[in-house]
Amino acid sequence: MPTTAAIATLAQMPAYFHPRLQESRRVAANRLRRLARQWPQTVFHLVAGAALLALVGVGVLHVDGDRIGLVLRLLAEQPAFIGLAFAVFGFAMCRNATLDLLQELHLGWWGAAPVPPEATRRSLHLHALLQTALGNLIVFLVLACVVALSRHPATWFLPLLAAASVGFWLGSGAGYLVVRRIGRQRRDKLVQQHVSTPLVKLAALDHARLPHLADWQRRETLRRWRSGGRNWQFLLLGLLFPTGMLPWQAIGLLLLCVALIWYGLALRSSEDVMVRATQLFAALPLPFPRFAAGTLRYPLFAWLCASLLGAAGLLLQSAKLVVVLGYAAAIGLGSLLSLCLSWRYRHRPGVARVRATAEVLLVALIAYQLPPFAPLLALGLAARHYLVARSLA
Amino acid sequence: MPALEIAGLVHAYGTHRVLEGVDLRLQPGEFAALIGPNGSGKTTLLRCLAGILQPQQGRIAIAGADMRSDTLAAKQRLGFAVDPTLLPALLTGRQCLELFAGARELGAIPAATLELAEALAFTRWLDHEVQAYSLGTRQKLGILLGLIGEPPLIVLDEPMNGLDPLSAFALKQHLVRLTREHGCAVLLATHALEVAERFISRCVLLLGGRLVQDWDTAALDAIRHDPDTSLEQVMVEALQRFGAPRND
Repeated sequence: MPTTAAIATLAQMPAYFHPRLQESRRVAANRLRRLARQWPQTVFHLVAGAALLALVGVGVLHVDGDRIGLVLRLLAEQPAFIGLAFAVFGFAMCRNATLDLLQELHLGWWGAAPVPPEATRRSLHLHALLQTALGNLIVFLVLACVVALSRHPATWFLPLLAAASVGFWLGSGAGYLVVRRIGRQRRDKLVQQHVSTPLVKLAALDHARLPHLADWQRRETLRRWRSGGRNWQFLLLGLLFPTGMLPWQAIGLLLLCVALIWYGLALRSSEDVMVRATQLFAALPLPFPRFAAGTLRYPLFAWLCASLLGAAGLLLQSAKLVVVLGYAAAIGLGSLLSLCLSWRYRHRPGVARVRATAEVLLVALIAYQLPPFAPLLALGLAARHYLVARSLA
Repeated sequence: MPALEIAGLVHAYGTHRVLEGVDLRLQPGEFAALIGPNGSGKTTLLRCLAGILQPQQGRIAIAGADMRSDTLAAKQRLGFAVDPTLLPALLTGRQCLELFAGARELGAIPAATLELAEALAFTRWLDHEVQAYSLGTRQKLGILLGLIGEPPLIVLDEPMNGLDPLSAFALKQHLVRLTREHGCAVLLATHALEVAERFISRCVLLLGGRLVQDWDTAALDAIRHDPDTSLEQVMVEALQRFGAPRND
């Protein structure tokens, strides 16, 4: 328990930063104390973490550093592109994180507290600075790790690090300035106004006896999409996008990747809405098949859209029809398995995620070794999960 | 100097105008209830006068300090109960109080706050993390945070929600003592008139973004002494007279 003297010292400190910093420090201290109190569990986690780290270390030693180094050398030859990609990433990261903090300071539990505006400004500045430095450090460590694994001289290292760092800091700075400008505007502008009315109202998506569930899933998807929930995937796409492709092939690849990124988000949002809808409807006499039918429609629609977009992308890359059909079937079966697990573990979403990952990997392995059995296995597992989900109260 | 002075306050969310020129003055020692149907703008008004929302037009002064031009001084003179849903789950109640005491430049948690915590049966929760609290216990902490340092103006939004009868009674007595002995002004937004009926010295009705009726102490006393009516009945009649919409 902190002493009165400690509080007196705190109070005497000049209000250089927002007290939110003290809050973070105390939360961290509480967490550490809890870890110490629950020491058997902590020891287990430490041992398990160390074992996992050792496994990762062994895996990293088997990575072909020269091959990655070659890719990075090619990337380093386009410093403007790398700088731009990291600038976009830095902007999105810094803008979103600083805006979240600003919202919390102005609209959260500190909203009415008498905190000097300069202290708030300094705290935001420090937060943005530390976050950017940490991001830059991670980039440096990843690249340094590749250098350590590479047997050839890594001449690409410094140019690549410089381009990425300059882009990252410039993007972060721009993101911070944008938030500062928003902060000077009216407070209620901090609450992002989302217009989530659909362009085309698809009445068929509404279940007759359970309407608006599909719209709930759609709105959740849109909210996450707009808040930049998959920005890192776009960054990855930007970094790994091959150069020297024909324009229509590049458009095709872009279509395919964007469709997959969006569909991943839509599926995850739909599953999260399922969990929340389960809690909302907990006391209602709602038969499971109706709930399943109501929550299936939006992901089904999303799969159709992702399949069509992805198919167009594949066709632009001169893919054969069988590949196109295989792509649609593969994401369809994977999604079906994931959805059925979400229904089955609708009260334990964490278990659904772990099992979905494990079972999709298992089906992929079977597809690699015994291709004809993979769809059968996926359908069988999905049917089994659906039946179990239906048998639950 | 009034404890609260609001003049021509206008606030809108996008194109939806919620407050349409609100004027209100509270003198030190007044215990006022702000009533109105759901969606009438009570919470928006309170959030504006706490400096959480910035109104498009109008002036708010807390004990002489202008909320727009001298925000820090205005907030130092205001106690605003924290919404229980916004409390940090991983801090203990004592840590929350210590942080707010620090923000208000107090050396420690004031004895009066600890006494109120005892009266609200909150003391045994002080060293538990907020995540272990029930709704009522969170509400108590939110109120304690609002009252810390006993500033000249105290603003509470539905403070009795989730409180057990003993705690609600202790809180009301404490607020009355603050108004009578310390000269604090209290503005309490509520639907539950019966909980405030015996304690308030003034009542204002917010409807359609405007304050349409103001009952002073004399008017409230007259209602209390009339055996054929009650404050609740008078309020309902006023709501019907002004054509209050049912937004709930």
